[in-house]
Amino acid sequence: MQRDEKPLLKLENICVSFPVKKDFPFQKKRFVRAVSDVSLEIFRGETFGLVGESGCGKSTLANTTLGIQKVDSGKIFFDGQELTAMNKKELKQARRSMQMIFQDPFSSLNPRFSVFDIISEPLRIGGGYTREQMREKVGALLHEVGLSEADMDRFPSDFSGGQKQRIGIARALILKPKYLVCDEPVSALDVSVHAQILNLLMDLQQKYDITYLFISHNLAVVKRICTRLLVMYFGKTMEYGDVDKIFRNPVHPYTRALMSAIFDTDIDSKHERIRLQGEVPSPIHPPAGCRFCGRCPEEEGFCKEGEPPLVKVEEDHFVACFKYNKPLAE
Amino acid sequence: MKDILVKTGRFLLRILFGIGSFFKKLWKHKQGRIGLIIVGILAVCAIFAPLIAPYDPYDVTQRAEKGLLPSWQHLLGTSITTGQDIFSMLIYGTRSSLSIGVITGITIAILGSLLGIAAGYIGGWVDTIIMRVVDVLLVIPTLPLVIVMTNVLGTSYVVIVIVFAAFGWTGLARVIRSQVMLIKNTNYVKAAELMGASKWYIMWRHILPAVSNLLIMSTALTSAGIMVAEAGLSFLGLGNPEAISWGKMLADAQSSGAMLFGHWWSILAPGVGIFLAVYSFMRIGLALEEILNPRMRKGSSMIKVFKHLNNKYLEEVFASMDDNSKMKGEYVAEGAQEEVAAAAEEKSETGVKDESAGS
Repeated sequence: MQRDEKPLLKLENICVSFPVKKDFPFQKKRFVRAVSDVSLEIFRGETFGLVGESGCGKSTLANTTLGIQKVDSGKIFFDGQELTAMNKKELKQARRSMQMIFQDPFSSLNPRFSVFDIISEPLRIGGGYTREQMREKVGALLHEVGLSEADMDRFPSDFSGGQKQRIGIARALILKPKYLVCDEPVSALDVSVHAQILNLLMDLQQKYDITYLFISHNLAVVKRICTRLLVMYFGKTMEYGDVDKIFRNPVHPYTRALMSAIFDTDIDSKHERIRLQGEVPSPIHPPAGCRFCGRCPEEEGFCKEGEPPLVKVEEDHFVACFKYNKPLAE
Repeated sequence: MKDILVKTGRFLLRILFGIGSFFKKLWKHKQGRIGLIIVGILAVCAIFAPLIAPYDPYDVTQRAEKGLLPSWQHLLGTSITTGQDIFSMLIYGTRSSLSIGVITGITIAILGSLLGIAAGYIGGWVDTIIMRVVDVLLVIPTLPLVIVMTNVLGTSYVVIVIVFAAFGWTGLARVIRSQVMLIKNTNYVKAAELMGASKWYIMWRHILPAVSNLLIMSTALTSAGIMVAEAGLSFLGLGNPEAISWGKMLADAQSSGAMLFGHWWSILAPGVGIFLAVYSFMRIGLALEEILNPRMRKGSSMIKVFKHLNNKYLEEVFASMDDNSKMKGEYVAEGAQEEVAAAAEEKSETGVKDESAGS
């Protein structure tokens, strides 16, 4: 991987919080900190994995990179331009090179629109195309994602989940984006079509040189298609770096727990399943110290003092854990 | 200039096409077709009233002797008080009833959709203000208010339309608001926003089509309600005193003692008119509801029961209903009858067993 190249997307200390509805008037305003102090770099042509359990801020983080979620603090650079400093018009222009694929293909396509209407919508909004040009483009793109031109005038309800997701992909691709957010693109689909959709995404990446931000629960999928990875827990970075390095040497207890949950087809293998105790704590009152306190199987007294900094384990592999800092404390 | 013309032309074409496909859907629906036919006849009566009616009831010189019995000259006789031809009055009365119903219905649809979409899509303080206004207006009873207003502002149709519209949009706005909020949060709207679509684009392309059918349905139903209200007001003498309306015909017949003279036709005629107008609009509204909400087709079977009523198998339908489904208004198909009966028997048996076991 060309590390000397400038990153396509760079996030610096991103914090996002949402106000919580007050229980009674005159109560002090409270906030849920969805993302706190996350930094990452995504390079051109790579597939960047974003992993974590539900509600840990993955989608919020992805939305900030698209400019649809305002950040409280921190900077986002896309293609050398600062996204967070743009006004609405500039943002609209910048967004033309970013797109998104949604988790649920059933709700991401308007049931009243024909396939042609759905896929050509970005062109129509942008303007400047005649109907014939649009039909030509849409037809070519349908072919590309594995559907046929004859499907153009049918409606979403005529298609299966996998085919709908293909339509969603075609819609995302028609403006030839540089950067594509895939928000759990296969988790709503049948297991049998997972591989087809993932292969399609990877083929398209090679062909059009697209950079993916791939959000997923499934570490097995991440291992297969991603080049770099960020493990999030409760709005914070736990482990960050090259996928191979993290999988070879998972340092953070949370990463290890996630990895032990990967479904193994080898029945005889006696790999230990790390079961996390307890629940995710209330996001309004996060625990003091390390966010993982209370559930961490390797927690010790000093974990509750301050938040662990992100430290370097090896080249392109970082972790935020006190245990790694103070291995002698054992 | 040319561009604008082409655009407006395309826009009008799309609306026409939409209305056309909508009527086609309604026409395919048996109940809707009945409604459409009746509304069509009434509309023809209203538009071409001077051509259809044998006399002009507004013309004083064309009045005949008072209280004539039905004859070939006067199909429904003449009124007892003024000597106007009742059949002509009946046809002219279509005008006021239909126009008030439809105009008020459309005004309510426009108001309700605008405010509902604004509240649902923009949200924030706009939503708060509109919804508080709705809350206030909802608790004010419309009919007494209209009676008071006509006393204050004079009895004209304009006042009636304005007051009914000003207080009638609230329910529609609420329904539309909740629909809009559902659609607003779907992923396809989010996708459109990501593509750089403006708010107007999303309202126009995504939200309005999704609520349009709902709008048409509610317009039909509210129009029916307004027609009844208008007839009631005219009956009370609060309608437009110069116009001929079915409610006023009823009032005249009643006050002149038509029943006493045995002139039942002068009461029945406007009554049938009101019934037909309201019934046809309700039919259209209910048919639309059924078309829009596929669950209605299977689930709530009042419509199925109605169908069978029309097929004059009333007894059979009720005989085939078991007690449970009678409560729910469900109609059990003939084949299922035995099964249900068997199930009920089994149930009662086990029930008895349970009881005995309990004791």
